[in-house]
Amino acid sequence: MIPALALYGVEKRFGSTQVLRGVDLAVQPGERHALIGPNGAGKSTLFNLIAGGARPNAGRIDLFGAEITRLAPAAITRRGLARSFQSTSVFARLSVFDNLRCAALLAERDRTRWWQRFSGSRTVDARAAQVLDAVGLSARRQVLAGTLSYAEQRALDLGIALAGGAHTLLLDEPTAGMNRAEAARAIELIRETTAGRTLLMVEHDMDAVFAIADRISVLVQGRIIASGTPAAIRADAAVRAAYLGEGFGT
Amino acid sequence: MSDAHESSAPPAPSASAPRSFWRGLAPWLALILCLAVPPFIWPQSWLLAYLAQTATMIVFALSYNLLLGETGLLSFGHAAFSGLGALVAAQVFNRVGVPLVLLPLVGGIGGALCGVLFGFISTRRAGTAFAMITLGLGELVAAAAWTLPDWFGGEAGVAIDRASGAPWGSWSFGPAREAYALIAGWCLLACVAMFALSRTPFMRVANAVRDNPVRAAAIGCYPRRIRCGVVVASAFFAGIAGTLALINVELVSTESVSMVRSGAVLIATVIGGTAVFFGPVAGAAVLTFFSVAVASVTRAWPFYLGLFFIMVVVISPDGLAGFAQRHSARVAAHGWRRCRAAYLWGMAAALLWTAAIVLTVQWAYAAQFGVDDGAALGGTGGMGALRWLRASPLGLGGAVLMLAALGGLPAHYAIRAQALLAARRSSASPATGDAR
Amino acid sequence: MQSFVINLLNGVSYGLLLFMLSAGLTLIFSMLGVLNFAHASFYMLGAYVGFSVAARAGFWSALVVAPLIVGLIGAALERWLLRRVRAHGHLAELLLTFGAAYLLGELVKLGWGLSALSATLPAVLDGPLFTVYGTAFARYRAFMMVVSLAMLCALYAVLCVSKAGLIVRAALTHASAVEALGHNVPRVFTGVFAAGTALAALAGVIGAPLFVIEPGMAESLGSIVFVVVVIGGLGSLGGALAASLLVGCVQTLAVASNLSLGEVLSMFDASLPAEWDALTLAQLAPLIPYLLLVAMLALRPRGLFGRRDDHV
Repeated sequence: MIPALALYGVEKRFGSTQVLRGVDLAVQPGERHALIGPNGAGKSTLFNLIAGGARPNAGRIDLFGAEITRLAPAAITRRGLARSFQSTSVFARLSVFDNLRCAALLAERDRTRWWQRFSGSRTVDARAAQVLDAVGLSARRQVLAGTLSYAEQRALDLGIALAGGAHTLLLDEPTAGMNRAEAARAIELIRETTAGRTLLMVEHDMDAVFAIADRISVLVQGRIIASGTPAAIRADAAVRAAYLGEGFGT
Repeated sequence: MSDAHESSAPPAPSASAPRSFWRGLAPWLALILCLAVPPFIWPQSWLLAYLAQTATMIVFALSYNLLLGETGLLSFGHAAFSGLGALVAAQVFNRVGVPLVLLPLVGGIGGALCGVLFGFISTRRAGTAFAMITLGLGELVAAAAWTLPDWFGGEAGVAIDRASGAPWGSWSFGPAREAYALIAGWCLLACVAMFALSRTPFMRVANAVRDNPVRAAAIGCYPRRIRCGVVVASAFFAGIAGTLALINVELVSTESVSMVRSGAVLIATVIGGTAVFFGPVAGAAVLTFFSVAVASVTRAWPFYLGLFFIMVVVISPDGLAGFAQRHSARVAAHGWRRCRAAYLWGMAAALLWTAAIVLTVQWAYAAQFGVDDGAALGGTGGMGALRWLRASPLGLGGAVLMLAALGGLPAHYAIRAQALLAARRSSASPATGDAR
Repeated sequence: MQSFVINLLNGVSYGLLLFMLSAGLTLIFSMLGVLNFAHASFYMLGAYVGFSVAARAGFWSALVVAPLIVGLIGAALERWLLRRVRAHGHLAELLLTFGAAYLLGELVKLGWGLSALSATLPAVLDGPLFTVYGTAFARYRAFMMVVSLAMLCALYAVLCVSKAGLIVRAALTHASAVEALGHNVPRVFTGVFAAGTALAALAGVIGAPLFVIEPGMAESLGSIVFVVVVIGGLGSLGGALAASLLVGCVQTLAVASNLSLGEVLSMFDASLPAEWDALTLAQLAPLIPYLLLVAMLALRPRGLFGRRDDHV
């Protein structure tokens, strides 16, 4: 089976600092894959490379078998890969609904006709309304996105990534800054809305990771040191030593 | 710009729908009335010229706001589009003979073609770099207009004769009244078109590019393409504005592409406010007021304009429209009776300080430029007191200081009243994440 | 050809003057993130104030006093106006400096009138320094180059070697961290802004005898300085130097040449209608900086030494 997202030997250097030293990763279609590792391991850099925000110095990135290594972010999105951001990134002076409408308009897989940018499109509006419901922001439909609370903005951030109908999602620390209850709710929301889609998630919250992930990869100092089921990762000695600590799990 | 309002509790739907409809319609009615009614009450040529200039500036400023307010692109060379569009229209009118009624459309297309060319160059960078690039391109066009032979008709510019075109019914457009009717009509048409454009999903995407270009790229748009598109649209309407000016004065010259013109539309749009659709309309009215009405009284009008501009940027960066919005929301929230004190004291302070500033400035200009200003001051009803003040600087200084001090008193009361209002507001509404 | 060397030297001196202006502008931009639209207005103000001071106290005291006065005015602008507007973002700051430029232009007209003034040179700086094949290189131009280079070295020394420079460079990227260490960052910002404007005023005092002092000088030179900064790459001092020298030399050589457009194009076997061919390079000289800008944008949008921007 062709992996939904595949990385082969991806390297990245900033000046003289080697951040990623040959990352190999494969995410199967429909899989929920979590990427964990200590700070400075290169997780956000890796996300940036996959989504097209920067170019790797070496290596190759494939989306369902087609190479996307040097494409612009917009081109990658139009092929069905969407991302959310670690620090919330919404369109502050647009209403919540307009935020979602823009995402739905631009990234639809079956491309909207160009004149619909001027006339509007019912399918786009319907899709945006559907995502609005799914992330639970229907009551805040006309509110300016910049005035939402933190948790609501995170939900909107997720909604923007979803609204384009992408089949593969990159979520960068979706529960950052949340307390335990909020994080649990956020994970539930992610689980519901990403049913059937491929998910690659960076997370620090171990409860969240073990609650949702089908497979986990561990990134330490720019290299994947282990990749497998949650149980296998919990038991892995190298992972324990590098990241989880001895007192975790079994 | 969006159709959402601040997140105060939404009023009951049934009562608000007709009210917000009228509130939305009111500025349009005001615009139509201001453009259509005065020529019938005072049918004088200076008023027609003034209103024609205002109408032209309105279209120009609205086109500029497509760049600044909607897409976050600050341009210092916008007059290039309007001037070049007018040039194309003038040449087409003189050589091909298009009916005058359709000439603004020709000018708009000319402007749009320039927009394609300049937009391609200038949108290679965004933000501050874009502003500097438009400055360079604007200077290039302005300098080229002086240097290159004949394409701008040399120093005399390219002139048209309105009446030489095909007549429209019984109108030849020679008389000022008929030309003004055409200009006002096209002004309204352009306003409606730009309003419709600002409601399209395309503009929402442009807003998204303004707010967060990185995220906009991540959701599938190419920010550069969007910016190019907006530049072309803005240049189209700027070309229309330039052609309206051409119809008004029957001449397009190097002044039409000058940096002074580019600066003027920037000032008008910022003063009016970039976040509301009708902001630039108000700004255009203010600018024309300064550059025509105030200019006929005193030569210090650029100074007053600059001072007013700086005041707006420092005190109310969202312009007059934003100021009006905020304060009408406050009055609506608290009721007029409670707010009355703060506003009346504030107005008194503003009037006194304005008087102090005007006296100082007028004296300074009179001291430097002597004769002209003296005539202006003395001519306005022979104010003996003013003449005495001018004659004795010490008396003037004393008067200014007294006014400034007097202004301090109501200012103090105004600040106290504002603080009371703010305290009342924070105690009245529970902390449910009040807007801003 | 004899005068080519002299013209080149003249071009270099003009380029160094441009660099004095663009260096101050780049510093303020890198430091405060705001492009000071009023920079050239401070240059003009320096020229006028220097003129008045020189009329009373001589050229040499003008060289010291004028930058001080203008630097104080710049500090006042930053402290009371720019700082208030900072909270509203970079666009508001740029608009404020635009308004300040406009108002400064009006103030200069108010204070000194509309007519052009001409500054006088001190006798020791007047006259030729040396002659090459019969064409003289002015002593004053050499003086200008010396001052520009001295200022450049002083700037480099302060920024890279001294403790104050270290604080400034740190506050560039991590203002809140520097503030947490106990340094008064807002005062640092004011200081940098004042230094930048004082530099511009110094350039004004020095450049005044070469160009005529008139109310339009801010606009004409200002646009060229902004273009130079974009060509060199926003935020890069090295780029500003390279671009200043490039623009200065090309423009000076064009003004000094006797070639016409037709003659230049005939070298490429091209020609234009007669009236275009008759245009001399000297007439086209004002357009050259902007044509260079367009060429740079077409070929290499980030400028000579600019950082590659994010793709958006």
